[in-house]
Amino acid sequence: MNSNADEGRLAVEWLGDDCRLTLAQLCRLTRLSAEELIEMVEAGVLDPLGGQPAEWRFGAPAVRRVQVAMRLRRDLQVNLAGSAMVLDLLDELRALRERLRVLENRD
Amino acid sequence: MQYKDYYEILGVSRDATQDEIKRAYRKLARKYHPDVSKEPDAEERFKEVGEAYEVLKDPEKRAAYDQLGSQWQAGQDFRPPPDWDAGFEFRGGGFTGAGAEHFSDFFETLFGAHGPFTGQAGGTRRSHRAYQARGEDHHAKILISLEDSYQGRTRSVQLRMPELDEQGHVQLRTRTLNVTIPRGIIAGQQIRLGGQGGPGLGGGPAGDLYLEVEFEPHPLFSVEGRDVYLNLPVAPWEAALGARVPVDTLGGKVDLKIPAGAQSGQKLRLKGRGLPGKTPGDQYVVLKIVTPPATTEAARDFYKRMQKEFSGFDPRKGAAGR
Repeated sequence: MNSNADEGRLAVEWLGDDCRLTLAQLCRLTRLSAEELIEMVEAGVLDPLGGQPAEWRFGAPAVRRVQVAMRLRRDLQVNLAGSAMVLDLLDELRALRERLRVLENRD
Repeated sequence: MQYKDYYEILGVSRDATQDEIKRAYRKLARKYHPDVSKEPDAEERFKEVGEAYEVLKDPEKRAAYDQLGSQWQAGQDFRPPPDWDAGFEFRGGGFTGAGAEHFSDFFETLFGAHGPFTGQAGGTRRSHRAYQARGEDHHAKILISLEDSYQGRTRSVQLRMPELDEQGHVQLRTRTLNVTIPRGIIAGQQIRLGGQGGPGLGGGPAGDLYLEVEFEPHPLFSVEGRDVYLNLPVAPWEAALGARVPVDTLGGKVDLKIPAGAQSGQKLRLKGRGLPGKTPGDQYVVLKIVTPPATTEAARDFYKRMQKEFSGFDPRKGAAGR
């Protein structure tokens, strides 16, 4: 997570490769309780490094995955296990689309 | 204000059953959900479908809407008749759906916060007034160029945000933000702008703005994760004999050594020349052998000499179907 001081009044934060959020930080960003996030870890929406919740570190995609899971639940009544599957398939779809674009550009 | 044909939006007939309406809504909601859909106008369509369902799923709102008559065409200029809601008994309780504040003026006029459908229980925004609450987080996708990410450029980003004016009407406001793109950001990653989301209620803090990045198509490069691909046309003699040729990278031109005996489709790697990061991406140069046209007598003679010279050469040797 990099902050950019040059941005003036805008506090810009990159949820990028260096992102290693603790459970407490992820709670603050997503406004969910630790219990709700633990449920998401159990369902496979989130896959933190580390063993115990106190040691968990969440990488770059965590915030987006939580947000998408909440929207899927609100809008389409998808449960957490279903969201985990949708998110994994969306990642795979993105990778395949990128691959396809690379291959199509060769011709 | 334009009339909205909620039946047409959901693709159902005016005498559809509540079950049919629910099924049509669910199907369209899956199709246009902005997190899942690739349709360019997914977000607009998703909101439109949600608005239509908000009305048609509720028998009272549906009856009131039907009362407007079926002679209206979608998009037609519309003013509600003064007593359009006369004769309906309302239980109160306005819309409950999330994001209802983003619905159209048409919806707002008929069913919004000041309409007859909002009773004591109140629409979402009225019920919030009494509390102090942090503003909503907002989300948007932005298109940036590969160069923006490679160099960490500052980009001016325009966003259209629905906002409520003092009368509670929805207005689209265009905001321009100067955002420094983090160097090495890749498609699908997010930037968080603290406090740039929806305003807080009752003195609460503002929400955050999340920008999800996608790359614009690039005229030269395509990208996969952090790796960048470039097609490089080469002459047959460059491929056969080897050569040094200048190639474009995101960081400018570099000299690329083509090894002797290179083939079309071969990938040459320029290590670390992709998008920057803790593990920087690579650039792959994909060779494409281009043959000179045989348009002159001399050129044709030359190809014939080659044919003779390479009489044992079979380009399809080992190819499938042989």
